[in-house]
Amino acid sequence: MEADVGGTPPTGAGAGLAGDPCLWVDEHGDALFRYALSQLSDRSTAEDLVQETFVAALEARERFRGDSTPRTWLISVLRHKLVDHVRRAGRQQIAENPETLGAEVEAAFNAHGRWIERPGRWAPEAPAAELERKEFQRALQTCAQGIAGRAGEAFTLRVLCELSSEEVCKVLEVQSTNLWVLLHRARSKLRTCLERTWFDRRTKDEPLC
Amino acid sequence: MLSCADATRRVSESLDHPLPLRTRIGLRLHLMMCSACWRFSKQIRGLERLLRGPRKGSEAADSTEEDPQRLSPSKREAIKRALRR
Repeated sequence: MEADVGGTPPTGAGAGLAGDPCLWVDEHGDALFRYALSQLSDRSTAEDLVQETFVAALEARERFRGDSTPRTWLISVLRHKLVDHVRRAGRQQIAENPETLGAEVEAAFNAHGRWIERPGRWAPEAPAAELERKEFQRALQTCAQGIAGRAGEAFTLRVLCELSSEEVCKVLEVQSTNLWVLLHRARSKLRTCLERTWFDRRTKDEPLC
Repeated sequence: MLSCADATRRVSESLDHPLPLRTRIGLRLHLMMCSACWRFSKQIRGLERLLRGPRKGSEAADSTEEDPQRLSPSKREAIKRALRR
């Protein structure tokens, strides 16, 4: 790993896009890619859109005003490209009926707000063996990618792209209270998905003694 | 008394913004008494840590192996070339 560059002077507000553009790729490339992939599920298209985003950002860099972080700005540029791409491809926007989505989470609780199906015991929490750990990571990523609609988009931006909640609000143009609802749905869905696809399977395959 | 539906909602919110003290105390009390919500809390925190975790600091360690959640090295280079033009 590279030594910590402690001697580098702090770059001022908005200067995040002033440096060598190649450094942006190292710093933000993976985050942009994960976001694109979550919306497209086609790796090469996702990579191409990330490239287009960086090129467009380079051309428009003087328009970056520094009222959001460089990453958030880049993600907003990418988001426009994703919307365009989906429209051009003539595909239906992955529209999710917000009421259905909400109902699914609500269904975990009865009318008094008590659990209907309580969360199971996950043992061990995460597998220790190397091969199994990779399989687990894959199951986890599949579940994370499978969270549909705006809840999934919000979760991707918050967790996989590591934006702050405030920055996610800016990108999605939602109020923070709405964002928290979306993220709660996403986390509940992720938890349920993993319990069904990973932990249930394990306990059935190899009963604990 | 806080319901489990509200408690899980607050557990999730606590990952996104600091809860007011009173809310935090109410939530902690609930979690101390409710094993189901305690599990929920532990599990979603663990999952987020795992989703964020492995990339941090492991840049060099697993550079030999392709991570499906990262740009491929060849594309990374191609983008840099496009930006130098």
